Amino acid sequence: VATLDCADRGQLLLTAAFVMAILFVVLAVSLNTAIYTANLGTRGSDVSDGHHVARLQDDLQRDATDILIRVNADHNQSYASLESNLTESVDRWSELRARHAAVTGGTVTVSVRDAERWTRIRQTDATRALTNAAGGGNWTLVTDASAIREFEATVAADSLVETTNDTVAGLLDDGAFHVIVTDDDGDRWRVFLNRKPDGTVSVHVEDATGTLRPACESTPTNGTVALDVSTATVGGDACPALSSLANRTSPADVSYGFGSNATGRYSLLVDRDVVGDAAFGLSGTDPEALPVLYRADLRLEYVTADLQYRNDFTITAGDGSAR
Amino acid sequence: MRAQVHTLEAFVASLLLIASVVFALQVTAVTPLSASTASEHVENQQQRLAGGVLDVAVHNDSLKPTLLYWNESNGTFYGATRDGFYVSGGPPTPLGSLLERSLSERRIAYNLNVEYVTARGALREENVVHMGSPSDTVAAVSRTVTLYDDDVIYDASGAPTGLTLENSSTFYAPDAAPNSSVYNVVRVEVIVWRL
Repeated sequence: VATLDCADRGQLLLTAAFVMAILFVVLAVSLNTAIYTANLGTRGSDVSDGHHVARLQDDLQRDATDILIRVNADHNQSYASLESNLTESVDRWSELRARHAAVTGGTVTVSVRDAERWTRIRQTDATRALTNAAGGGNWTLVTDASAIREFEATVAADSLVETTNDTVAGLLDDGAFHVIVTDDDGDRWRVFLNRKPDGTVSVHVEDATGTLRPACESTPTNGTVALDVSTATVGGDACPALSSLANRTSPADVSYGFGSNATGRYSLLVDRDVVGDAAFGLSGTDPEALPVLYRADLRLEYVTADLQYRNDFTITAGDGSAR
Repeated sequence: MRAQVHTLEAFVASLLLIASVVFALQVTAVTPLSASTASEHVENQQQRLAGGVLDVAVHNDSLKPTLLYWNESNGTFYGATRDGFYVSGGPPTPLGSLLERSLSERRIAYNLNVEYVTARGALREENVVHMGSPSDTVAAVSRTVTLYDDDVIYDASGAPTGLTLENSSTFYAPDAAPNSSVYNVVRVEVIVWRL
């Protein structure tokens, strides 16, 4: 009996060793599976293609803006040809991008739904007076413009009227060049530019209440002074008085007064189609009114086996400085 | 005698135990190069790293100059081998040094490929950097870049030349969108693996 007991114990030992070995293998395999699952689980939302959409949207936003800027760079065009250039380029982009998306099983369609017709009004000859095409000094650049953007001028200091007057009536009597912004509510802002005897240029702003704000002064660099109405700076320095133009709430007219008493370059973007107005010169002669597609509405559609995505969004050309 | 047999059995049993533990460890082979489940983490990390590098390159505008770093007279990238790609490291451009700093210095090898659309609408691949065939621990990321007709080719020093893609005769990608300002849309792919 004792002999049997011993043999039993030996077998028991062996069986226990086998069981433990199998247990270890099972443990190792289940640990492995847990690690693998955790890894796949933290690998991002591949299932919903969410990151594909986000990237596509990013790419489109950037590339469509680039396309819009390139389309507008070709100035000697009509609105119709700008629009067909934009549509053509966006369609081609969409086709090429779709080729790449097809590899991952998605289809991409981008279409232009609408494009806003704006005008860039500008004068590029720095030695020309700020008059209209016929040479008139008091003239209107645009009427009923809701958006006036990137409005900047570089004016020769010695072309400005020299005066020390700091009243509206006095500046008008001396014939100081001024920009007039009149909105539909009848509010009027006037920005006067004149030169002082010491050679500095001062910018006076008459706000909607008829008060003349304290002048901003600037020393000319290379004989010119840069006035940026959109960012409210004169010669690169902030001019708080100009910021009051931002309070405009309705569409406005922009005019020049005594434009013959200033020479220089200027440029502004308005959300109106004034191309071909009599105030402007024919193609290539100052002042120019050039067609611009400032803002475009696009539609992006992306379809995969388990995702249907559609988004309408807007792109703008230009630096986006508001006002 | 019986005691000896028992001792022998005990030895055999413990050997069996150790052997099964060793076997269990071998099942989850944790070597840096084998595509085991444990290397998933490495792949994930490398994928994120390469993705980060490409994102940086897109946002600081260093991706496109490398695609346009083209020797027009030779029809290859500047300083590339006879086969037309770089083998020992990145191109001598900002993107190249970015890849060197973030990948090579961490002992991660990479291939950089550009996939473009041909005039007939097929996809074709151009190798920019080819360090070899990847090991099992491999991850790939890609970003899409649009080339325009008026994009200019860069010279050996990395400065833009006046030559636009439209007027280039040897550039690897063709104008896949004639009659529009778009030249081609290319997919830049970085394949990374642990050395």
